Amino acid sequence: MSAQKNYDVVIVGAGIAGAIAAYKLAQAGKSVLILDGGAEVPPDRSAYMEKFYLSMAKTPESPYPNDADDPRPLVLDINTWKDRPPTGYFVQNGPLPFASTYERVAGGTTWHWMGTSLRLLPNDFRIQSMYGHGVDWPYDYNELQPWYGRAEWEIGVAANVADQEYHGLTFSDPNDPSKPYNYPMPGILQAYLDTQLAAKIGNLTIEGQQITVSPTPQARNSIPFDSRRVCAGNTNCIPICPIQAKYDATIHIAKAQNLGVDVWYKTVVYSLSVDKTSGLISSVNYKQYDDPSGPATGEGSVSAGLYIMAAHAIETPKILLNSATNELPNGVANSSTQVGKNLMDHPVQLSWALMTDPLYPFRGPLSTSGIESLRDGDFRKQHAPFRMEIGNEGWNWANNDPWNSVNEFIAAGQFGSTLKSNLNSLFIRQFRFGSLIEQMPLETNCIVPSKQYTDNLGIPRPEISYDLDDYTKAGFADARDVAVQLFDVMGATDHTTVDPANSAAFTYQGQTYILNGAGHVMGTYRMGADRTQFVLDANQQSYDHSNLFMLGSGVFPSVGTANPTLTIAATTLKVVDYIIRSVLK
Amino acid sequence: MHLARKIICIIALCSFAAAAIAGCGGTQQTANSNAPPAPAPRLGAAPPPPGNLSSNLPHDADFSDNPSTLDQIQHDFDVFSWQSFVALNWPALADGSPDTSKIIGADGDNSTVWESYKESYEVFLPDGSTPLPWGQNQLPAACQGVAGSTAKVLRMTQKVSDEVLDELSQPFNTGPIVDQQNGKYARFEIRLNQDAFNFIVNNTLYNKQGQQAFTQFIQFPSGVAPTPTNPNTPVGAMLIKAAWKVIDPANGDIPGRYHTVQAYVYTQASDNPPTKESCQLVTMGLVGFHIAHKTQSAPQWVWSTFEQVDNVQPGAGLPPGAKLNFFNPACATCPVNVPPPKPWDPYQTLPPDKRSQIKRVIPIDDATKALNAQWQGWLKAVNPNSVWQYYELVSTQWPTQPSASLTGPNPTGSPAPPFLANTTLETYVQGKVPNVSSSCIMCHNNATTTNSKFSDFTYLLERAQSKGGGK
Amino acid sequence: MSSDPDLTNFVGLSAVLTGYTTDQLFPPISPEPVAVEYLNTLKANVAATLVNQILTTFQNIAAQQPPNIDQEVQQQILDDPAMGPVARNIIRMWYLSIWYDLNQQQPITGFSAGTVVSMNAYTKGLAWDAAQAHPMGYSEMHYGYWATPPES
Repeated sequence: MSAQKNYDVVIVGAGIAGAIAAYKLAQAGKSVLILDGGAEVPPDRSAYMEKFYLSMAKTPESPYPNDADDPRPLVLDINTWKDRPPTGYFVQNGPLPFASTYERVAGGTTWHWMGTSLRLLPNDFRIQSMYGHGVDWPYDYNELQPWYGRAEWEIGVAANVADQEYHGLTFSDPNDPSKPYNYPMPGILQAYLDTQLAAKIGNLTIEGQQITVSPTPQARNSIPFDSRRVCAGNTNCIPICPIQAKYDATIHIAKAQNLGVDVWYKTVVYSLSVDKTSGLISSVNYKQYDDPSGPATGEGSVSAGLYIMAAHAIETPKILLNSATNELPNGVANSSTQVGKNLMDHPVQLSWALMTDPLYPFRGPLSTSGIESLRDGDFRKQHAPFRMEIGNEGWNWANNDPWNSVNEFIAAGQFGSTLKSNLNSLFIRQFRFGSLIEQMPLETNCIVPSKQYTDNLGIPRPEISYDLDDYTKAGFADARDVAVQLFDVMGATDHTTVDPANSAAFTYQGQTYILNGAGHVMGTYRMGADRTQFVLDANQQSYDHSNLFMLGSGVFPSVGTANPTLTIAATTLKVVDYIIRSVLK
Repeated sequence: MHLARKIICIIALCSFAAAAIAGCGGTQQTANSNAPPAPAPRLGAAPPPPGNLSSNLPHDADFSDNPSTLDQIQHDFDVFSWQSFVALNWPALADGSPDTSKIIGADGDNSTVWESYKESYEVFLPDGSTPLPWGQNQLPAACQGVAGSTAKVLRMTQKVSDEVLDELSQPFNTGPIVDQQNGKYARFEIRLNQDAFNFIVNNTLYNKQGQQAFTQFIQFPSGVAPTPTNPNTPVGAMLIKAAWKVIDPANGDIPGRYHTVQAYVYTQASDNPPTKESCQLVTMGLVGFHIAHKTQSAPQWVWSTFEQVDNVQPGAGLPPGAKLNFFNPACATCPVNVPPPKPWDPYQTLPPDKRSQIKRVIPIDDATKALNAQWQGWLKAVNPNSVWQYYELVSTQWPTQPSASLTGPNPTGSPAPPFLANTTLETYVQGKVPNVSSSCIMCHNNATTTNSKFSDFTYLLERAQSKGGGK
Repeated sequence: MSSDPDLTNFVGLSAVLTGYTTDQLFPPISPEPVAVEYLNTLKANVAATLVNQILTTFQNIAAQQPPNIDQEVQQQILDDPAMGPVARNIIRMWYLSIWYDLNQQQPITGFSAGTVVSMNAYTKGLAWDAAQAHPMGYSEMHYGYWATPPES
């Protein structure tokens, strides 16, 4: 690497948290280095798009490199998660598989996020005090509210406030609470099928909540914004937006680099070192590679005044735990012994159906609306809440369509105009709900560095134990019941199938369900007021090492039902502001 | 559509009736609008130009050879491209119209017709106000002082004095390109012809409020080829995008191989990267040239792109050892088609190993090469020192299914060739990956107004600001 | 139509198999005709004698101008134990832009082994057209088109 500068801050991970943090710190005049395990951001997305076009299975990770030196889990790994030696990157101990994945390229998983930018609800911050489940955040919605607004402007979220004022959500100008707030862009137009579903649902109350189809706040352009194009509805937010109408973190990597931030790519951090006298972090230790499937070509350490871990909720605890020494046998930042524990996701219940009338799916962003009605309510005393994402891609996720149905019809002997019209009739009436359930934290859901299995660079792979508690499962079962009820109200025919042999099947109260991952990897280095229970304080500063901060969804004490990215951005802006004002001043 | 047609008729009448009526923009900039399609050379004027060189700007491609294959139609569009290039670069009179008493390149280089077109910054003003009428130019404030101090220079060089190069980076921040000779950034500009300008002004599409109020489907006027019975047809909307590099003989540039101008190189103030505003008068040479022309045969517009011949490969007659503009054959390890390292500071002079190493990904096809040789030969026949012989057509993109509905599933009309890039203007998106690699029509199909309405294949309308300058 | 008789027969057969017209499958002026790629893929993956048998059989059917060409193609080609699986793979290729490996467990499903013919082919898969949509990742439509039903 080039001669080392004196950096004020070293950040591990060039995802949304690391990139925004670097940008903001550089704006404040700090010298910043980001280390990222993946290859550099390509000049254009043609190589990724080519890989996507030519992939047989167009999974979320299909466009991106699968490098032995910088490995990550694949969604299809879940089919064989019990195999030993493990066929995928994760070593999974069960009893359920952890079904979510993430990317380890520069820009991180925002390369294939949906763009859904919901705020957590006020009651999500206090579920223990309100409902007796989970844990409260160390602060309330009002404290995060201005940072949500700033995050929405930073990444570019399209929504109308009037559509989002439910379950006690309030909006005001981040810099002047007496003034109203506006999102930076008007809301994305709802898909035709959303308005059809809303009309068919009509006036309906379930579990005390009026059922409403709400437009989803989305980090994609509804008008030209930040030198990027308007969304053209390529229906491909996941795995990859071809035209970058959707925000991804490469935007902030570029902005940070334009302010002088250095980024070292192909630099895989595997541990932190601690100064024995001061107890401060003294260096970040990394390996480097040239050929992504070749051996390490370098190994080194880099030091700075302040360290920020932003490597997401699997890699960050892996690195902290892998830093164990005789002096710190539990690893770095782990006097609470909570590092790596309370791994959470939003388990997804998929229900799919055929409408009587055409809905014309497969057109527009992958989802433009959801039913947010059951994200909060007194029922949270009994079972987990959920949001119902309305899929705009027919049975693509649910049944790998159009591929499966085309093949099924051809195998049945159909051809010519009969085939064409039967496919048309099927595809234009398909829709699905994906209900994202709030998962409760469990200490036994954990990630540790594997003692047995390492990656190509000799770095331990993540070993995961994972399960759902009964409160979460009850929410899962309720999500399924509500989907069936809505299908019934709308006159739609349920086509949901459940294969008990599925590697992600589980049973609850005699019913079998299939667990799907939302790609929302959360928990594992949570913040909270009690240093014996939490890894970080409310400023996301390590209780054990004052020059160590952590960002990302790993800090969430509990996860609500909002897709986590916006909250990652909001908490990042909040913490970086604290660092600039109080730590590096 | 109807509205657009009507506007064109009014303009044509104006230019017939009076030379300069305010609001009508004075004389038409093309010979075709007020003269028969092929004017006979005037007595005492220059001898007829060689080959098909003409000051007549074509309004549409000429299909009188009844093409029936893709290659034959491509040929007709490529001829249209060369005709347009020559007419646009024809020596201009003071009002910007072609000087039919002169021949392109007779003096080696010349001021050109298109350089009097409106630059985009003159149309989309910071306060959303009405642009100055056609024929009246407006300099950025930062350039006005510069103008006064260098007026002499401008007169001496006989070059157009209103050239303002205000663009730094390529679309969507894909990055600048850096000259091999001197380590400086190339600069860009976008200009509108009078039909495009009038459409925007007459419909108040130059500010956000006007775009909100305009409820029709945006359709710029199309060029229609004149016929003996209907000689006064509209030119159609044209947009010109040009790329320029600093010309500095001390650094090895050979000025005689470029169309050069004394230009105001204007750098806008920016937060990211932190950049100060400035305006400098610099000798710049033309290296890349796009013509987008909406015509009757191409509602998706015809997209012609030209380059200076020494951009990435040595052009004919380049002395041995002379540097290329954007490629260094001696550097085997320089990363190819990769933007320079950030921060992208327009004031820096990059060291040789950080300068652009650009290769053309899709070669120019043989038929286009043959056509280039023919037109370059005619240009050389005018004057062996003509700078215009050092330009080549890369290709012309046109819709193979022009009648495709612009609101249907395939509004791009299946363009041919499917991909087209200029190494100076779409440097980092060359290739053949659908929806990502450079295709003029496919990309511009995503262009909208500030309120996300389809803007008829031009991104310019996104530049409109609010009236009064507010949000 | 093409001067190559194989291509002519292939496009004609494909029209019957897919329910699309020959002009839709092979536009007269087309910069990247996917029919040519598909015929090449067919020839690269299936024995020449079998390809010839399929194309010749279709040529003979077409020459007779039968009142119900679909029925003839079904009986003579799709129901034939040798030609049928290849013909069904041709339908899959047009609809899904994939050439599925023929030597694998039948019936072929969405998860069977195969190869996406090309990026160009992916953008022209007929399944998306049948859905009145566009290939995921490749849309030519404009902002907000999804708010209303497709043009018929």
